[in-house]
Amino acid sequence: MLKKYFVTFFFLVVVFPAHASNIEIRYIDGTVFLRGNKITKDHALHYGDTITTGENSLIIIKLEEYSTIKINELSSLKLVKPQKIKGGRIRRGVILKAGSVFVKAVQKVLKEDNSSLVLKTKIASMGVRGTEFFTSYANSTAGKDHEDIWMCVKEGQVVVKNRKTKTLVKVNEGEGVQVPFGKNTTSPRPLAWTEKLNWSMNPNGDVKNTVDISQAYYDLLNVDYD
Amino acid sequence: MILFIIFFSFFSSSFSVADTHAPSEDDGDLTLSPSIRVIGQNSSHTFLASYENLNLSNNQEVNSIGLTYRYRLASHSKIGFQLQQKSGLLHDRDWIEEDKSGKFVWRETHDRTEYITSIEYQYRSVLAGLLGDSWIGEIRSSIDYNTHLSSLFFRPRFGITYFSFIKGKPAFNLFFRFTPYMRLSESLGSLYEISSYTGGAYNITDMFQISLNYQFINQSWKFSNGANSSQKTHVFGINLNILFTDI
Repeated sequence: MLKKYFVTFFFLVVVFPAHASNIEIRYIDGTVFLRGNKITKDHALHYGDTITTGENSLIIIKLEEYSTIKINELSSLKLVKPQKIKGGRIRRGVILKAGSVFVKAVQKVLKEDNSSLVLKTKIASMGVRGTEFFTSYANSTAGKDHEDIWMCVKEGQVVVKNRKTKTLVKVNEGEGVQVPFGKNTTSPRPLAWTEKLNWSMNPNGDVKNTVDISQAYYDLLNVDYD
Repeated sequence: MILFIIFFSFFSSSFSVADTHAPSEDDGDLTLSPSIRVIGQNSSHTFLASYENLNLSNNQEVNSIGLTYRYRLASHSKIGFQLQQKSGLLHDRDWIEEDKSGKFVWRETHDRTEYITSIEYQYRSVLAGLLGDSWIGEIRSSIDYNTHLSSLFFRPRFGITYFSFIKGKPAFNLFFRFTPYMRLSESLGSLYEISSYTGGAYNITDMFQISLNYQFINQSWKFSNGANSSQKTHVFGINLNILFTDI
């Protein structure tokens, strides 16, 4: 009996060290909250935590060696505990509850780790096959529960699963999609507004993203009124 | 360069009258022009049907029906085809001598139908570095063929538009367009018409947009009797757009 407990303990702590989080805050600007408390760069983060940013604030975190995430202002991101799935693979994930994030995944590490990374939102999930992408909720006049999602890929490929329609859409480098609330995901295409996104995660430079997501609804270069 | 073009459009239009066998020139009438457009669009295709009633000086009333299709070649560029049916246009050859009396008048053209086919190419760019993310600059160049005149025309259009958004949706836009209209056949490259067009459009709903605009048109003629003339018109336009997106 004791042996059985020991094996379980050994498995959880040594063989499957995912719970032993190694999450580092690389940069913090403005007011960032964890369980309602303002945090600083030295604060320890763990899987299961939900990070919330205030106005004109952002935080860059490094999830072990497999991903760096920039959480923009007025955003909320939950760090999900890694889970073992079929075939011994590990599913790593984050849940975007509000706002927007830039994700830079290290595909090589994920492969070596036999793991995959998924970003979930209320209406769609993004399976990361690429390395860099941006995901954002867009303000909706129908309220927070009816927000659309916009996503674009800088490098590699991301598979977007629409939770309502169950459809899968592959989005390649340089393309973006809209997941309108309750509707089909749009066809991937180059989106003018994504050209000005600030993808930088270098704490020594300018990391603030100022692109207004509201323009996403309008592909200005496609407007024909006459 | 842009400022020069704008300046040119307003002040370069004083063509002299060679003799009395040409229409008289004045400062131009102020007229009203209603128009309506139905636009269907998705990320690659644009379909546009339009009707316009344009009143020009000298009681020239031009009615125009147009059908346009545009295909998006890349994010910045489109190619298009257009067919227009127009009535009431006045051309050089319509300034005629009345009953060999020596008195020249404009021919009655209200019932004359002309067809104009066009191919066009347009390039657009966000003027982020110059003015901001909400400003779009465009050049739309068309080659027109008028079946009545059997003539080719070149119509480059230079435009700039400012878009305003409220909660992710377009609220209104302000625009300026400048179009010289040049004859390619007969007298190569001669200026036939210049128009400057400015105004604003307000999105009432996702489907309906109304716009008010002011257009200055300067038409130029070179008559067979050797006379030159031009005619200015100040047009106050009101337009309704009916929009179908994601067709």
